[in-house]
Amino acid sequence: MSRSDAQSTICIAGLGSPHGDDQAGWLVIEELRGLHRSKARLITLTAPHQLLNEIEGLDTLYVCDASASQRPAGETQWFDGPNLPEAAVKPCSTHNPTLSSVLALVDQLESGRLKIRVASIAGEQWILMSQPSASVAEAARKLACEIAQELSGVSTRS
Amino acid sequence: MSTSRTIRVEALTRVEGEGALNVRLSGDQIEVVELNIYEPPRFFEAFLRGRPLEDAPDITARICGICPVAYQMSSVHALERALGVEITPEIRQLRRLLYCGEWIESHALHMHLLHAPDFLGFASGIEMGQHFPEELKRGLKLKKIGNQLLEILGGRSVHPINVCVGGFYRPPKKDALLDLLPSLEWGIAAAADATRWVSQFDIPDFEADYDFVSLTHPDEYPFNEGDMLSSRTGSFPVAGYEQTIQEYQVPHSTALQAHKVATKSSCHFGPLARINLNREKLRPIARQLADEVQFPTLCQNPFRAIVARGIEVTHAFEEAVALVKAYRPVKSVRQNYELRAGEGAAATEAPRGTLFHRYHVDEAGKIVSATISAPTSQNQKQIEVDLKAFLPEYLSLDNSAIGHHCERLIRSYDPCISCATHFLRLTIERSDVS
Repeated sequence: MSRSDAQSTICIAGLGSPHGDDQAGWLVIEELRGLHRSKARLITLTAPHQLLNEIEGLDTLYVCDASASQRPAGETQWFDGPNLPEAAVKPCSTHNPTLSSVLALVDQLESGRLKIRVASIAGEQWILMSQPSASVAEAARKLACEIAQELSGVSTRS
Repeated sequence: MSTSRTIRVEALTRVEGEGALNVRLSGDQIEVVELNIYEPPRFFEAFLRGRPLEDAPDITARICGICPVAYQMSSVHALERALGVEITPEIRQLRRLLYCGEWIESHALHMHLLHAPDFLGFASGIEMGQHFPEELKRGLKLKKIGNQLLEILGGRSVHPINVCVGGFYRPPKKDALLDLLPSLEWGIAAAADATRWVSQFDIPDFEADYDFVSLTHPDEYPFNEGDMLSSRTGSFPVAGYEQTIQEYQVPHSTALQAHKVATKSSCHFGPLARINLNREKLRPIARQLADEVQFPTLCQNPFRAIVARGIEVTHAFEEAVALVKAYRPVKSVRQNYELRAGEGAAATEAPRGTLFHRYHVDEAGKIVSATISAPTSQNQKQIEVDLKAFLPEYLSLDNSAIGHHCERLIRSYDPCISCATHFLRLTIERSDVS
Protein backbone atom coordinates (compact mmCIF):
# COMPACT_ATOMS: atom_id res chain seq x y z
CA MET A 1 0.00 0.00 0.00
CA SER A 2 1.32 3.44 -0.78
CA ARG A 3 -0.02 6.88 -0.06
CA SER A 4 0.44 10.58 -0.68
CA ASP A 5 -1.01 13.82 0.70
CA ALA A 6 -2.14 12.32 4.00
CA GLN A 7 -4.01 15.49 5.06
CA SER A 8 -6.49 15.63 2.18
CA THR A 9 -10.21 15.12 2.77
CA ILE A 10 -10.50 13.42 -0.60
CA CYS A 11 -9.09 9.96 -1.09
CA ILE A 12 -8.79 8.07 -4.34
CA ALA A 13 -8.16 4.41 -3.79
CA GLY A 14 -7.06 2.00 -6.48
CA LEU A 15 -7.82 -1.62 -5.71
CA GLY A 16 -5.92 -4.31 -7.52
CA SER A 17 -3.22 -6.91 -7.87
CA PRO A 18 -0.31 -7.41 -10.27
CA HIS A 19 -2.31 -9.85 -12.35
CA GLY A 20 -3.43 -8.73 -15.82
CA ASP A 21 -6.42 -6.43 -15.92
CA ASP A 22 -6.77 -6.57 -12.15
CA GLN A 23 -4.18 -3.80 -12.20
CA ALA A 24 -6.83 -1.35 -13.47
CA GLY A 25 -7.31 0.40 -10.11
CA TRP A 26 -3.56 0.74 -9.57
CA LEU A 27 -3.09 2.11 -13.09
CA VAL A 28 -5.61 4.87 -12.40
CA ILE A 29 -3.60 5.92 -9.34
CA GLU A 30 -0.35 5.77 -11.28
CA GLU A 31 -1.85 8.01 -13.96
CA LEU A 32 -3.17 10.44 -11.35
CA ARG A 33 0.28 10.64 -9.77
CA GLY A 34 1.69 11.42 -13.20
CA LEU A 35 -0.77 14.30 -13.63
CA HIS A 36 0.74 16.07 -10.58
CA ARG A 37 -2.50 18.01 -10.15
CA SER A 38 -4.54 16.01 -7.76
CA LYS A 39 -4.87 17.35 -4.23
CA ALA A 40 -6.47 14.09 -3.25
CA ARG A 41 -4.78 11.39 -1.21
CA LEU A 42 -3.84 8.66 -3.66
CA ILE A 43 -3.53 5.11 -2.40
CA THR A 44 -3.16 1.67 -3.86
CA LEU A 45 -4.68 -1.25 -1.99
CA THR A 46 -4.87 -4.98 -2.46
CA ALA A 47 -8.10 -5.70 -0.59
CA PRO A 48 -11.30 -3.77 0.13
CA HIS A 49 -11.00 -4.09 3.94
CA GLN A 50 -7.88 -1.91 3.79
CA LEU A 51 -10.21 0.99 3.00
CA LEU A 52 -11.30 0.91 6.63
CA ASN A 53 -7.87 2.23 7.61
CA GLU A 54 -8.22 5.22 5.31
CA ILE A 55 -11.59 6.82 6.00
CA GLU A 56 -10.73 8.97 9.01
CA GLY A 57 -11.16 12.65 8.21
CA LEU A 58 -12.45 12.09 4.68
CA ASP A 59 -15.43 13.70 3.04
CA THR A 60 -15.07 12.05 -0.39
CA LEU A 61 -13.89 8.59 -1.30
CA TYR A 62 -13.28 7.41 -4.84
CA VAL A 63 -12.68 3.71 -5.37
CA CYS A 64 -11.33 2.46 -8.69
CA ASP A 65 -11.38 -1.26 -9.34
CA ALA A 66 -11.45 -3.81 -12.13
CA SER A 67 -14.49 -5.94 -12.72
CA ALA A 68 -15.07 -9.23 -14.43
CA SER A 69 -18.32 -8.82 -16.32
CA GLN A 70 -19.96 -9.27 -19.70
CA ARG A 71 -19.18 -5.65 -20.56
CA PRO A 72 -16.53 -4.97 -23.23
CA ALA A 73 -13.02 -4.75 -21.82
CA GLY A 74 -12.13 -1.17 -20.97
CA GLU A 75 -15.69 0.02 -20.44
CA THR A 76 -16.01 2.10 -17.29
CA GLN A 77 -19.09 2.22 -15.09
CA TRP A 78 -19.73 4.60 -12.22
CA PHE A 79 -21.70 3.88 -9.07
CA ASP A 80 -22.61 6.47 -6.46
CA GLY A 81 -23.02 5.67 -2.82
CA PRO A 82 -22.17 2.49 -0.98
CA ASN A 83 -24.64 0.24 -2.79
CA LEU A 84 -23.14 -1.66 -5.66
CA PRO A 85 -25.04 -3.77 -8.21
CA GLU A 86 -25.81 -7.32 -7.22
CA ALA A 87 -23.02 -8.80 -9.32
CA ALA A 88 -20.45 -6.85 -7.32
CA VAL A 89 -21.84 -8.06 -4.02
CA LYS A 90 -20.87 -11.65 -4.74
CA PRO A 91 -17.64 -12.37 -2.87
CA CYS A 92 -14.54 -13.37 -4.83
CA SER A 93 -12.78 -14.36 -1.62
CA THR A 94 -14.00 -16.28 1.39
CA HIS A 95 -11.41 -14.66 3.63
CA ASN A 96 -12.02 -10.98 3.10
CA PRO A 97 -15.15 -8.86 3.10
CA THR A 98 -16.41 -7.73 -0.30
CA LEU A 99 -16.04 -4.16 -1.50
CA SER A 100 -19.78 -3.88 -1.18
CA SER A 101 -19.82 -4.88 2.51
CA VAL A 102 -16.82 -2.70 3.32
CA LEU A 103 -18.51 0.31 1.71
CA ALA A 104 -21.71 -0.49 3.60
CA LEU A 105 -19.74 -0.47 6.85
CA VAL A 106 -17.97 2.76 5.91
CA ASP A 107 -21.37 4.32 5.20
CA GLN A 108 -22.69 3.17 8.60
CA LEU A 109 -19.65 4.47 10.46
CA GLU A 110 -19.82 7.83 8.74
CA SER A 111 -23.62 8.04 9.07
CA GLY A 112 -23.99 8.51 5.32
CA ARG A 113 -21.86 11.69 5.49
CA LEU A 114 -19.07 10.40 3.28
CA LYS A 115 -19.53 10.81 -0.46
CA ILE A 116 -18.57 7.52 -2.10
CA ARG A 117 -17.97 7.06 -5.83
CA VAL A 118 -16.96 3.76 -7.32
CA ALA A 119 -15.54 3.42 -10.83
CA SER A 120 -15.38 -0.05 -12.29
CA ILE A 121 -13.31 -0.86 -15.38
CA ALA A 122 -14.30 -4.07 -17.13
CA GLY A 123 -11.36 -6.41 -17.67
CA GLU A 124 -10.88 -9.42 -19.89
CA GLN A 125 -7.72 -11.26 -18.83
CA TRP A 126 -6.43 -12.10 -15.37
CA ILE A 127 -3.33 -14.16 -16.06
CA LEU A 128 -0.86 -14.24 -13.18
CA MET A 129 1.71 -11.44 -13.31
CA SER A 130 0.76 -10.52 -16.88
CA GLN A 131 0.50 -7.02 -18.36
CA PRO A 132 -2.94 -5.42 -18.48
CA SER A 133 -4.71 -5.44 -21.82
CA ALA A 134 -4.35 -2.33 -23.94
CA SER A 135 -8.02 -1.46 -23.63
CA VAL A 136 -7.89 -1.53 -19.81
CA ALA A 137 -4.69 0.52 -19.70
CA GLU A 138 -6.32 3.12 -21.95
CA ALA A 139 -9.49 3.09 -19.85
CA ALA A 140 -7.42 3.66 -16.70
CA ARG A 141 -5.73 6.65 -18.32
CA LYS A 142 -9.08 8.15 -19.35
CA LEU A 143 -10.58 7.50 -15.95
CA ALA A 144 -7.66 9.24 -14.21
CA CYS A 145 -8.22 12.29 -16.43
CA GLU A 146 -11.94 12.21 -15.74
CA ILE A 147 -11.42 12.11 -11.97
CA ALA A 148 -8.79 14.84 -12.10
CA GLN A 149 -11.17 16.96 -14.13
CA GLU A 150 -14.05 16.23 -11.78
CA LEU A 151 -11.98 17.31 -8.79
CA SER A 152 -10.46 20.39 -10.31
CA GLY A 153 -13.05 21.44 -12.80
CA VAL A 154 -10.16 21.86 -15.21
CA SER A 155 -9.35 19.66 -18.13
CA THR A 156 -5.90 18.08 -17.87
CA ARG A 157 -5.14 15.88 -20.83
CA SER A 158 -7.10 13.41 -22.83
CA MET B 1 -39.66 -43.00 21.89
CA SER B 2 -36.29 -41.60 20.97
CA THR B 3 -36.13 -38.89 18.34
CA SER B 4 -32.97 -38.09 16.49
CA ARG B 5 -32.09 -34.65 15.30
CA THR B 6 -29.19 -33.28 13.28
CA ILE B 7 -28.06 -29.68 13.50
CA ARG B 8 -25.80 -28.37 10.80
CA VAL B 9 -24.09 -25.04 10.60
CA GLU B 10 -23.10 -25.27 6.96
CA ALA B 11 -20.54 -22.49 7.01
CA LEU B 12 -19.18 -20.79 10.09
CA THR B 13 -19.25 -17.04 9.70
CA ARG B 14 -16.93 -14.37 11.10
CA VAL B 15 -14.04 -16.78 11.41
CA GLU B 16 -10.97 -16.99 9.19
CA GLY B 17 -11.28 -19.85 6.69
CA GLU B 18 -13.95 -22.41 5.90
CA GLY B 19 -15.49 -24.74 8.41
CA ALA B 20 -18.81 -26.18 9.42
CA LEU B 21 -20.36 -27.80 12.45
CA ASN B 22 -22.30 -31.06 12.65
CA VAL B 23 -24.22 -31.98 15.78
CA ARG B 24 -26.21 -35.21 16.05
CA LEU B 25 -28.69 -35.63 18.87
CA SER B 26 -30.61 -38.66 20.00
CA GLY B 27 -33.41 -37.34 22.15
CA ASP B 28 -31.65 -35.24 24.77
CA GLN B 29 -28.36 -37.04 24.28
CA ILE B 30 -25.64 -35.41 22.25
CA GLU B 31 -24.16 -38.19 20.16
CA VAL B 32 -21.78 -36.34 17.90
CA VAL B 33 -20.24 -32.87 17.81
CA GLU B 34 -17.86 -32.40 14.92
CA LEU B 35 -16.11 -29.22 13.97
CA ASN B 36 -15.82 -30.00 10.31
CA ILE B 37 -12.94 -28.17 8.72
CA TYR B 38 -13.29 -28.81 5.03
CA GLU B 39 -10.80 -26.31 3.68
CA PRO B 40 -8.41 -28.22 1.42
CA PRO B 41 -5.05 -29.25 2.91
CA ARG B 42 -2.39 -26.66 2.22
CA PHE B 43 0.78 -28.78 2.38
CA PHE B 44 3.04 -26.03 3.72
CA GLU B 45 5.21 -28.49 5.64
CA ALA B 46 5.74 -30.41 2.42
CA PHE B 47 6.49 -27.23 0.42
CA LEU B 48 9.31 -26.42 2.80
CA ARG B 49 11.19 -29.67 2.34
CA GLY B 50 14.32 -29.20 0.28
CA ARG B 51 14.08 -25.40 0.29
CA PRO B 52 16.76 -23.10 1.75
CA LEU B 53 16.07 -22.43 5.42
CA GLU B 54 16.04 -18.68 4.70
CA ASP B 55 12.74 -19.19 2.83
CA ALA B 56 10.87 -20.48 5.87
CA PRO B 57 9.90 -17.16 7.52
CA ASP B 58 8.36 -15.75 4.35
CA ILE B 59 6.75 -18.98 3.13
CA THR B 60 5.17 -19.84 6.48
CA ALA B 61 3.95 -16.24 6.87
CA ARG B 62 1.70 -16.90 3.86
CA ILE B 63 -0.25 -19.42 5.93
CA CYS B 64 -2.16 -16.53 7.45
CA GLY B 65 -2.95 -12.92 6.62
CA ILE B 66 -3.95 -12.16 10.19
CA CYS B 67 -1.01 -13.61 12.10
CA PRO B 68 1.95 -13.77 9.67
CA VAL B 69 4.27 -12.41 12.37
CA ALA B 70 3.58 -15.43 14.56
CA TYR B 71 4.70 -17.71 11.72
CA GLN B 72 7.77 -15.63 11.10
CA MET B 73 8.68 -15.53 14.77
CA SER B 74 8.20 -19.26 15.40
CA SER B 75 10.18 -20.14 12.27
CA VAL B 76 13.15 -17.85 12.90
CA HIS B 77 13.47 -18.86 16.54
CA ALA B 78 13.30 -22.57 15.65
CA LEU B 79 15.84 -22.20 12.84
CA GLU B 80 18.16 -20.10 15.00
CA ARG B 81 18.12 -22.90 17.56
CA ALA B 82 18.99 -25.37 14.83
CA LEU B 83 21.91 -23.19 13.78
CA GLY B 84 23.03 -22.14 17.26
CA VAL B 85 22.41 -18.44 16.57
CA GLU B 86 22.21 -16.10 19.56
CA ILE B 87 20.29 -12.91 18.84
CA THR B 88 21.20 -9.55 20.37
CA PRO B 89 19.04 -7.73 22.93
CA GLU B 90 18.20 -5.16 20.22
CA ILE B 91 16.82 -7.84 17.91
CA ARG B 92 14.89 -9.37 20.78
CA GLN B 93 13.25 -6.01 21.57
CA LEU B 94 12.33 -5.37 17.95
CA ARG B 95 10.75 -8.82 17.67
CA ARG B 96 8.63 -8.09 20.73
CA LEU B 97 7.61 -4.78 19.21
CA LEU B 98 6.65 -6.48 15.95
CA TYR B 99 4.55 -8.99 17.87
CA CYS B 100 2.81 -6.10 19.68
CA GLY B 101 1.68 -4.82 16.27
CA GLU B 102 0.20 -8.20 15.39
CA TRP B 103 -1.60 -8.68 18.69
CA ILE B 104 -3.06 -5.19 18.41
CA GLU B 105 -4.38 -5.56 14.86
CA SER B 106 -5.63 -9.12 15.29
CA HIS B 107 -7.28 -8.68 18.69
CA ALA B 108 -8.82 -5.31 17.81
CA LEU B 109 -10.36 -6.80 14.66
CA HIS B 110 -11.74 -9.83 16.46
CA MET B 111 -13.10 -7.93 19.43
CA HIS B 112 -14.90 -5.27 17.44
CA LEU B 113 -15.94 -6.75 14.12
CA LEU B 114 -16.13 -10.49 14.71
CA HIS B 115 -17.05 -11.15 18.33
CA ALA B 116 -18.79 -8.04 19.72
CA PRO B 117 -21.82 -8.41 17.38
CA ASP B 118 -22.58 -11.74 19.11
CA PHE B 119 -23.03 -10.09 22.49
CA LEU B 120 -25.01 -7.13 21.18
CA GLY B 121 -27.43 -9.13 19.05
CA PHE B 122 -26.24 -8.13 15.60
CA ALA B 123 -25.68 -10.41 12.66
CA SER B 124 -22.57 -8.58 11.53
CA GLY B 125 -20.17 -5.76 12.21
CA ILE B 126 -21.91 -3.77 9.50
CA GLU B 127 -25.23 -4.00 11.32
CA MET B 128 -23.52 -3.16 14.59
CA GLY B 129 -21.88 -0.12 13.00
CA GLN B 130 -25.21 1.62 12.72
CA HIS B 131 -25.75 1.48 16.49
CA PHE B 132 -22.20 1.63 17.84
CA PRO B 133 -20.29 3.71 15.29
CA GLU B 134 -17.95 5.34 17.80
CA GLU B 135 -16.96 2.05 19.41
CA LEU B 136 -16.37 0.50 16.00
CA LYS B 137 -14.35 3.49 14.81
CA ARG B 138 -12.23 3.26 17.94
CA GLY B 139 -11.69 -0.44 17.22
CA LEU B 140 -10.70 0.23 13.62
CA LYS B 141 -8.33 2.98 14.74
CA LEU B 142 -6.68 0.62 17.22
CA LYS B 143 -6.31 -1.96 14.47
CA LYS B 144 -4.86 0.62 12.12
CA ILE B 145 -2.14 1.54 14.63
CA GLY B 146 -1.23 -2.14 14.92
CA ASN B 147 -0.96 -2.31 11.14
CA GLN B 148 1.16 0.85 11.07
CA LEU B 149 3.55 -0.66 13.58
CA LEU B 150 3.83 -3.76 11.38
CA GLU B 151 4.49 -1.56 8.36
CA ILE B 152 7.32 0.34 10.06
CA LEU B 153 9.02 -2.78 11.37
CA GLY B 154 8.08 -5.28 8.71
CA GLY B 155 8.00 -3.20 5.55
CA ARG B 156 4.29 -3.75 5.03
CA SER B 157 1.27 -4.32 7.22
CA VAL B 158 0.26 -7.73 5.90
CA HIS B 159 2.86 -10.43 5.32
CA PRO B 160 5.84 -8.38 6.50
CA ILE B 161 9.04 -8.84 4.50
CA ASN B 162 11.74 -7.58 6.87
CA VAL B 163 12.10 -10.62 9.13
CA CYS B 164 14.96 -13.03 8.53
CA VAL B 165 16.80 -15.81 10.30
CA GLY B 166 19.25 -13.93 12.53
CA GLY B 167 17.13 -10.79 12.93
CA PHE B 168 15.87 -8.21 10.48
CA TYR B 169 17.07 -7.22 7.01
CA ARG B 170 17.21 -3.60 8.10
CA PRO B 171 16.55 -1.69 11.31
CA PRO B 172 13.42 0.45 11.53
CA LYS B 173 13.78 4.20 11.26
CA LYS B 174 13.68 5.83 14.66
CA ASP B 175 11.77 8.83 13.31
CA ALA B 176 9.03 6.59 11.96
CA LEU B 177 8.64 4.91 15.34
CA LEU B 178 8.67 8.24 17.19
CA ASP B 179 6.02 9.61 14.81
CA LEU B 180 3.80 6.70 15.84
CA LEU B 181 4.41 7.22 19.57
CA PRO B 182 1.44 9.59 20.16
CA SER B 183 -0.88 7.05 18.51
CA LEU B 184 0.58 4.26 20.63
CA GLU B 185 0.08 6.33 23.78
CA TRP B 186 -3.51 7.07 22.71
CA GLY B 187 -3.91 3.34 22.15
CA ILE B 188 -3.26 2.47 25.79
CA ALA B 189 -6.24 4.52 26.97
CA ALA B 190 -8.43 3.59 24.00
CA ALA B 191 -7.76 -0.13 24.40
CA ALA B 192 -8.55 0.14 28.11
CA ASP B 193 -11.85 1.87 27.23
CA ALA B 194 -12.64 -0.84 24.70
CA THR B 195 -11.95 -3.46 27.38
CA ARG B 196 -14.28 -1.72 29.82
CA TRP B 197 -16.93 -1.68 27.09
CA VAL B 198 -16.72 -5.40 26.30
CA SER B 199 -16.49 -6.34 29.99
CA GLN B 200 -20.04 -5.01 30.40
CA PHE B 201 -21.49 -7.33 27.77
CA ASP B 202 -24.01 -9.93 28.85
CA ILE B 203 -21.68 -12.91 28.88
CA PRO B 204 -23.18 -16.44 28.91
CA ASP B 205 -22.81 -18.24 32.18
CA PHE B 206 -20.70 -21.17 31.03
CA GLU B 207 -17.53 -22.50 32.60
CA ALA B 208 -15.38 -25.55 32.06
CA ASP B 209 -12.47 -27.08 33.91
CA TYR B 210 -9.78 -26.31 31.37
CA ASP B 211 -6.20 -27.40 31.06
CA PHE B 212 -4.77 -24.02 30.08
CA VAL B 213 -1.52 -24.09 28.13
CA SER B 214 0.72 -21.22 27.06
CA LEU B 215 4.27 -20.02 27.09
CA THR B 216 5.49 -18.54 30.33
CA HIS B 217 8.54 -16.42 30.99
CA PRO B 218 10.07 -15.49 34.34
CA ASP B 219 10.30 -11.76 33.60
CA GLU B 220 7.69 -10.78 31.06
CA TYR B 221 4.36 -11.54 29.47
CA PRO B 222 5.07 -14.21 26.87
CA PHE B 223 5.56 -13.51 23.19
CA ASN B 224 8.60 -15.32 21.83
CA GLU B 225 10.42 -17.06 24.64
CA GLY B 226 10.04 -19.14 27.76
CA ASP B 227 8.90 -22.61 28.71
CA MET B 228 5.49 -24.11 28.12
CA LEU B 229 3.18 -24.19 31.12
CA SER B 230 0.08 -26.33 31.66
CA SER B 231 -2.33 -25.40 34.42
CA ARG B 232 -2.74 -29.11 35.20
CA THR B 233 0.67 -30.63 34.74
CA GLY B 234 3.12 -27.76 35.14
CA SER B 235 5.92 -26.66 32.89
CA PHE B 236 7.54 -28.55 30.04
CA PRO B 237 10.28 -27.50 27.64
CA VAL B 238 9.47 -26.23 24.17
CA ALA B 239 12.10 -28.64 22.81
CA GLY B 240 9.97 -31.53 24.05
CA TYR B 241 6.66 -30.10 22.88
CA GLU B 242 5.51 -33.19 20.95
CA GLN B 243 6.24 -35.41 23.93
CA THR B 244 3.51 -33.53 25.80
CA ILE B 245 1.12 -32.35 23.09
CA GLN B 246 0.50 -34.46 20.05
CA GLU B 247 -1.43 -33.82 16.85
CA TYR B 248 -3.60 -36.50 15.31
CA GLN B 249 -6.02 -36.80 12.46
CA VAL B 250 -9.78 -37.15 12.68
CA PRO B 251 -11.94 -38.24 9.74
CA HIS B 252 -14.18 -35.18 9.72
CA SER B 253 -11.53 -32.47 9.44
CA THR B 254 -8.66 -31.48 7.19
CA ALA B 255 -7.08 -29.87 10.25
CA LEU B 256 -5.23 -32.04 12.70
CA GLN B 257 -6.46 -31.99 16.28
CA ALA B 258 -4.26 -32.09 19.36
CA HIS B 259 -4.33 -33.59 22.82
CA LYS B 260 -2.08 -34.25 25.79
CA VAL B 261 -0.07 -37.39 25.08
CA ALA B 262 -0.43 -38.80 28.58
CA THR B 263 -4.16 -38.31 29.08
CA LYS B 264 -5.53 -37.86 25.54
CA SER B 265 -7.32 -34.83 26.96
CA SER B 266 -7.89 -31.46 25.29
CA CYS B 267 -6.12 -28.22 26.16
CA HIS B 268 -7.15 -24.58 25.94
CA PHE B 269 -4.71 -22.20 24.19
CA GLY B 270 -4.99 -18.45 23.61
CA PRO B 271 -5.54 -15.22 25.51
CA LEU B 272 -7.55 -16.80 28.31
CA ALA B 273 -4.76 -19.32 28.94
CA ARG B 274 -2.07 -16.65 28.75
CA ILE B 275 -3.75 -14.34 31.24
CA ASN B 276 -4.64 -17.15 33.63
CA LEU B 277 -1.03 -18.37 33.60
CA ASN B 278 0.81 -15.05 33.35
CA ARG B 279 -1.41 -12.37 34.85
CA GLU B 280 1.29 -11.00 37.16
CA LYS B 281 3.53 -10.41 34.12
CA LEU B 282 1.09 -7.98 32.46
CA ARG B 283 2.28 -4.39 32.23
CA PRO B 284 0.99 -2.17 35.09
CA ILE B 285 -1.94 -0.48 33.32
CA ALA B 286 -3.13 -3.77 31.80
CA ARG B 287 -2.80 -5.55 35.15
CA GLN B 288 -4.71 -2.77 36.89
CA LEU B 289 -7.33 -2.91 34.15
CA ALA B 290 -7.78 -6.66 34.69
CA ASP B 291 -8.47 -5.93 38.36
CA GLU B 292 -10.78 -3.02 37.53
CA VAL B 293 -12.97 -5.07 35.18
CA GLN B 294 -12.93 -7.87 37.76
CA PHE B 295 -11.39 -10.36 35.42
CA PRO B 296 -11.37 -13.56 37.51
CA THR B 297 -8.02 -14.78 38.82
CA LEU B 298 -8.80 -18.10 37.18
CA CYS B 299 -11.22 -17.37 34.36
CA GLN B 300 -12.86 -20.52 33.00
CA ASN B 301 -15.53 -18.91 30.85
CA PRO B 302 -14.46 -19.01 27.18
CA PHE B 303 -16.80 -16.14 26.29
CA ARG B 304 -14.68 -13.87 28.50
CA ALA B 305 -11.86 -14.27 26.00
CA ILE B 306 -13.15 -11.03 24.45
CA VAL B 307 -12.22 -9.25 27.70
CA ALA B 308 -8.88 -11.08 27.82
CA ARG B 309 -8.17 -9.79 24.32
CA GLY B 310 -8.90 -6.24 25.44
CA ILE B 311 -6.48 -6.60 28.34
CA GLU B 312 -3.83 -8.00 25.99
CA VAL B 313 -4.32 -5.16 23.50
CA THR B 314 -3.80 -2.70 26.37
CA HIS B 315 -0.69 -4.62 27.41
CA ALA B 316 0.61 -4.63 23.83
CA PHE B 317 0.21 -0.85 23.54
CA GLU B 318 1.99 -0.34 26.88
CA GLU B 319 4.78 -2.65 25.82
CA ALA B 320 5.06 -0.92 22.44
CA VAL B 321 5.32 2.53 24.03
CA ALA B 322 8.08 1.31 26.36
CA LEU B 323 9.97 -0.39 23.52
CA VAL B 324 9.71 2.61 21.18
CA LYS B 325 10.92 4.98 23.90
CA ALA B 326 13.85 2.70 24.64
CA TYR B 327 14.76 2.14 20.98
CA ARG B 328 18.31 3.10 20.08
CA PRO B 329 19.10 2.38 16.44
CA VAL B 330 22.10 0.17 15.81
CA LYS B 331 23.91 -0.34 12.53
CA SER B 332 22.85 -3.93 12.04
CA VAL B 333 20.05 -5.96 13.47
CA ARG B 334 21.07 -9.18 11.80
CA GLN B 335 23.31 -11.86 13.27
CA ASN B 336 25.57 -13.76 10.91
CA TYR B 337 25.58 -17.52 11.09
CA GLU B 338 27.29 -20.55 9.64
CA LEU B 339 25.18 -23.22 8.04
CA ARG B 340 25.23 -26.57 9.78
CA ALA B 341 23.03 -29.61 10.12
CA GLY B 342 20.73 -29.44 13.10
CA GLU B 343 17.31 -29.42 14.58
CA GLY B 344 15.45 -26.67 16.36
CA ALA B 345 12.03 -26.05 17.83
CA ALA B 346 10.28 -22.92 19.00
CA ALA B 347 6.90 -21.88 20.28
CA THR B 348 5.62 -18.33 20.24
CA GLU B 349 2.29 -16.87 21.22
CA ALA B 350 0.14 -16.05 18.20
CA PRO B 351 -2.90 -13.90 19.04
CA ARG B 352 -5.10 -17.00 19.16
CA GLY B 353 -2.66 -19.31 20.96
CA THR B 354 0.64 -21.14 20.91
CA LEU B 355 2.23 -21.70 17.51
CA PHE B 356 4.86 -24.43 17.49
CA HIS B 357 7.47 -25.00 14.75
CA ARG B 358 10.18 -27.64 14.45
CA TYR B 359 12.75 -27.88 11.64
CA HIS B 360 15.50 -30.30 10.65
CA VAL B 361 18.09 -28.70 8.37
CA ASP B 362 21.05 -30.27 6.59
CA GLU B 363 24.63 -29.02 6.39
CA ALA B 364 23.83 -27.13 3.16
CA GLY B 365 21.06 -25.17 4.87
CA LYS B 366 18.20 -27.05 3.22
CA ILE B 367 15.10 -27.94 5.19
CA VAL B 368 14.83 -31.70 5.65
CA SER B 369 11.55 -31.65 7.55
CA ALA B 370 9.17 -29.13 9.05
CA THR B 371 6.42 -29.49 11.64
CA ILE B 372 3.91 -26.71 12.25
CA SER B 373 1.25 -26.91 14.97
CA ALA B 374 -1.16 -23.99 14.69
CA PRO B 375 -3.20 -22.75 17.65
CA THR B 376 -6.56 -23.48 16.05
CA SER B 377 -5.55 -27.11 15.46
CA GLN B 378 -4.62 -27.34 19.09
CA ASN B 379 -7.89 -25.75 20.23
CA GLN B 380 -10.10 -27.76 17.89
CA LYS B 381 -10.67 -30.70 20.22
CA GLN B 382 -11.33 -28.31 23.10
CA ILE B 383 -13.97 -26.53 21.03
CA GLU B 384 -15.76 -29.84 20.43
CA VAL B 385 -15.55 -30.75 24.13
CA ASP B 386 -16.93 -27.31 25.04
CA LEU B 387 -19.83 -27.64 22.62
CA LYS B 388 -20.85 -30.96 24.15
CA ALA B 389 -20.96 -29.37 27.59
CA PHE B 390 -22.54 -26.12 26.41
CA LEU B 391 -25.34 -27.46 24.21
CA PRO B 392 -27.69 -29.23 26.66
CA GLU B 393 -29.00 -25.92 27.99
CA TYR B 394 -30.13 -24.92 24.50
CA LEU B 395 -31.62 -28.15 23.17
CA SER B 396 -35.19 -26.90 23.52
CA LEU B 397 -34.50 -24.21 20.91
CA ASP B 398 -34.94 -24.66 17.19
CA ASN B 399 -31.98 -25.79 15.10
CA SER B 400 -31.19 -22.34 13.81
CA ALA B 401 -31.00 -20.86 17.31
CA ILE B 402 -28.88 -23.75 18.55
CA GLY B 403 -26.56 -23.25 15.60
CA HIS B 404 -26.26 -19.58 16.45
CA HIS B 405 -25.24 -20.35 20.06
CA CYS B 406 -22.69 -22.89 18.84
CA GLU B 407 -21.17 -20.34 16.48
CA ARG B 408 -20.87 -17.85 19.33
CA LEU B 409 -18.89 -20.33 21.37
CA ILE B 410 -16.66 -21.26 18.43
CA ARG B 411 -15.97 -17.59 17.70
CA SER B 412 -14.83 -17.02 21.28
CA TYR B 413 -11.71 -19.01 20.32
CA ASP B 414 -11.09 -16.69 17.35
CA PRO B 415 -10.32 -19.74 15.24
CA CYS B 416 -8.18 -19.36 12.18
CA ILE B 417 -9.20 -22.32 10.08
CA SER B 418 -6.81 -21.46 7.27
CA CYS B 419 -3.93 -21.75 9.73
CA ALA B 420 -5.20 -24.99 11.14
CA THR B 421 -5.62 -26.71 7.81
CA HIS B 422 -2.39 -28.36 6.94
CA PHE B 423 -0.88 -31.66 6.04
CA LEU B 424 -3.26 -34.54 5.79
CA ARG B 425 -1.64 -37.89 6.51
CA LEU B 426 -2.10 -40.11 3.52
CA THR B 427 -2.70 -43.80 4.06
CA ILE B 428 -2.70 -46.07 1.06
CA GLU B 429 -4.03 -49.54 1.48
CA ARG B 430 -2.92 -52.01 -1.15
CA SER B 431 -3.97 -55.54 -1.58
CA ASP B 432 -1.56 -57.95 -3.23
CA VAL B 433 -2.71 -59.30 -6.53
CA SER B 434 -1.26 -62.72 -6.97
